[in-house]
Amino acid sequence: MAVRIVTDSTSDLPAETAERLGITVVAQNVHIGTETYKDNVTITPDDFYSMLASSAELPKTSQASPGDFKEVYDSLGSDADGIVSIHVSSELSGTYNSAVQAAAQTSADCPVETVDTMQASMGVGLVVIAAAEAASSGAGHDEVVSIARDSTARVQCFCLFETLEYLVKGGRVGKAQAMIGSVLSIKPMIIIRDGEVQQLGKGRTFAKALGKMKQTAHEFAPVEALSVMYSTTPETAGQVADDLRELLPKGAEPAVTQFGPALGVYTGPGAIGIALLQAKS
Amino acid sequence: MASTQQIEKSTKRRLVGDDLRAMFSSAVHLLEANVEAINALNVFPVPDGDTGINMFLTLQDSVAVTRTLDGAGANEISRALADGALKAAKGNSGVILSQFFEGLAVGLRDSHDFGPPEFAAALREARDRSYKAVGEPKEGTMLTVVSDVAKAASGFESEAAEMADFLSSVCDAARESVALTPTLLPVLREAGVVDAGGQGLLVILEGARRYAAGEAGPGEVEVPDPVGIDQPTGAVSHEFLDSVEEEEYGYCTQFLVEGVDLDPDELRARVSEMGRSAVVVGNSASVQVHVHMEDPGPVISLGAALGSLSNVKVENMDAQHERFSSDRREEDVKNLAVVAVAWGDGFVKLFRGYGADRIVTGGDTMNPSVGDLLQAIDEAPSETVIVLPNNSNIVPAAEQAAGRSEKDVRVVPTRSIPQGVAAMLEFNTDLDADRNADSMNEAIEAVLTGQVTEAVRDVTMNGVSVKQGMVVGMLEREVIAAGESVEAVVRSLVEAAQQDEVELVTLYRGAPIDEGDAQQIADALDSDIEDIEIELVEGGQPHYHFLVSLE
Repeated sequence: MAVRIVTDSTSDLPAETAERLGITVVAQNVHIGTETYKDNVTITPDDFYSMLASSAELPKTSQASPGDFKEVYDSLGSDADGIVSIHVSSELSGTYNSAVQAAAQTSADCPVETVDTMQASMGVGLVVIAAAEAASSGAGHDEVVSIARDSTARVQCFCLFETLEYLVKGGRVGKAQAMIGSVLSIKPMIIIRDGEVQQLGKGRTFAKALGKMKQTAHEFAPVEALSVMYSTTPETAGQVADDLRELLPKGAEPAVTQFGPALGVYTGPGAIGIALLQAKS
Repeated sequence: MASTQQIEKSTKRRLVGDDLRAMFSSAVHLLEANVEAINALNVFPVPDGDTGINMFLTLQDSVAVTRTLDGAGANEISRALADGALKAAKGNSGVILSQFFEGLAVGLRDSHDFGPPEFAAALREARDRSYKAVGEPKEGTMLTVVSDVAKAASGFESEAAEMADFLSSVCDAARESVALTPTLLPVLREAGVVDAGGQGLLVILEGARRYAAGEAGPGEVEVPDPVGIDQPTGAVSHEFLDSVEEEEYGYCTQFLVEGVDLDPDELRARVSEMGRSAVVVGNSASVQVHVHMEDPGPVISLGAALGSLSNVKVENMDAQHERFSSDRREEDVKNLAVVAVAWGDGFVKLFRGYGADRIVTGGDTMNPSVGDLLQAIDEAPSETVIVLPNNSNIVPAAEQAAGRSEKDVRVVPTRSIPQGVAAMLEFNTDLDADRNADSMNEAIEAVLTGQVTEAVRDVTMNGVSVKQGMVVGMLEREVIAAGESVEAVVRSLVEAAQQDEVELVTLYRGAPIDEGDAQQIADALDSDIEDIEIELVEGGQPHYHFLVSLE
């Protein structure tokens, strides 16, 4: 018996990491035209991005339902000391709400705790990994919950877009509104703060903006864990990961992972993100 | 306007408040008669100085404040002049002038009446204040002239001389100092002229002297020959157009026309026929008009027919100066607001688009006053305000306004529009004022500013010989190319920046070049120059074919 970790596909957790640490990932729904796909299950990210480019209509997402989560909790609960369910910011998505409802209705005998990371993508993923590692080394339910909450307070996630177009169309631009609507070609950068999308800055060229992204990562040093995300440009992400390896403790490797369709709807092609877990001060 | 009361040469050793007021009223008239001559001393081959008009407008508005103060003491008059000057201050020279008056006010604060000793002490204060008004004081400018004048005056501190003689010595010192300015400031030497602001101050002092000496009204004040120049082509003294007459009533009407192929000489002639005290200055893209009219309608219609009007100001000269109160929009109070100085539709939209809360119209040939900036700061919807002056000549006025406002104000000293855009792009209301100012200051370091314009006079700058009418390209205010073709000059500018690892060149199109030509140039450069992205954006600025941001 152990504590089991659940998250949603907005966490962009690499599949092998989820498998290795026994994490259950509940898929979000992606709607393209009249078709509905299960994020990362019935549609791969690469297929999604090529459909994003060719589709006249902007794809939409919908959160996993309370039923989806209840099903997972019920099933895991038969063989667990506890379930810790860790999710994308409630300010950005109704996913956390679905999880909370499911937790209230589940037939699982063990305690089910939901955690709102106030984050997105690997900002969620790094919290999930920290919790899952604690669980696999035998931590109890309360301890895993406390580790998840503590990690949430130390995680940072920021992203550089080729264009804000998708974020704007998707209605998730939030306080970054000031970046839109002008004549200059700019590369916008956002950061998730207080659970919301906020402006990080604007670069006049992608290269300069990438420099600022890396500089921002340095400002958060020292870090315990780091991940670089991409939508369509793995080479760029790999390069950024190499450049930022020095921020990590010796021997630790940065993760490189793709924005899944649930977030890809907002990032559009060409986006690069960085998530990191700051060391305890 | 000013009193025309003539007095005999004053043999008085003590003067009173009414005399002080009359001294500077006389100076207003004299300065007005010399506006063009002072403007013509611009040392750069771009129409970027308007020292004469700025000093005149500043002095005129300051003296106007004293009009109702009959019988007041010299202390009250000098204080009113200083307060008036600060509000009216236009441009760098106007700001320095306002500090000159502030010094006089401090020096005369205990003097109901005064003589050479008090006035000498006041000039010393004026010198100290003037130097303080400038971030990086340069010699060979108006400041040097103030300093030399104060030094000459100090010989009278204990002497019981007559004011007329005292002011005569002061003017001699000013004249000598102005002549020597090219020996101190290399740019003047290269252009073969004396300093415009220094000459402006000489004219003001001469106006004061003429009052004290009982000499007749205005006329041109000879510009001293620049010392150290072999063949002074000197200041081209334009003939002053208008006789300045005493006016009983009417409207002081001011506006700026921006257009294409404007002819200031023709417009001046027409405006002079329509009204009195016409001062019309500018170039083919923008002209400033100042005229006294009984009915301001026709001259405004004339301007509107020629181009786009801005900074329209009509004041009833007989009535109290009433501040134009702009319609305050209901706005949410923010944690941080930005006030930016910009000129041209494109730039106004751009700064607004990136979150500027107030735009103050202004730029090279139209520096906003401290009062204009202060008003914008006070109206901005936040108690914390960042000011982007976007022009090196406007930085001092912005700093004055910041010091004067009761709000928490940071001036980010953007010295050009491209620097201003770079700073504006850093604006982030999620962060506090210090962090915003820090990242803005960092961002402006990463931008080079280029300018492409037409030379308005022959000049040799930086070893490049420029003839009037040529297209000239400047990088960081250094002339680096001149020629007949706009495209060739822009190309030289971009190529000169290549060594600085520039990745992006933004060409902000201005009034002198049409959209099609600009697009053609941008396309040609984009296909010819590798590794640099070329972006063409509407700026709408006058005078400059292109303002260029290289980053």
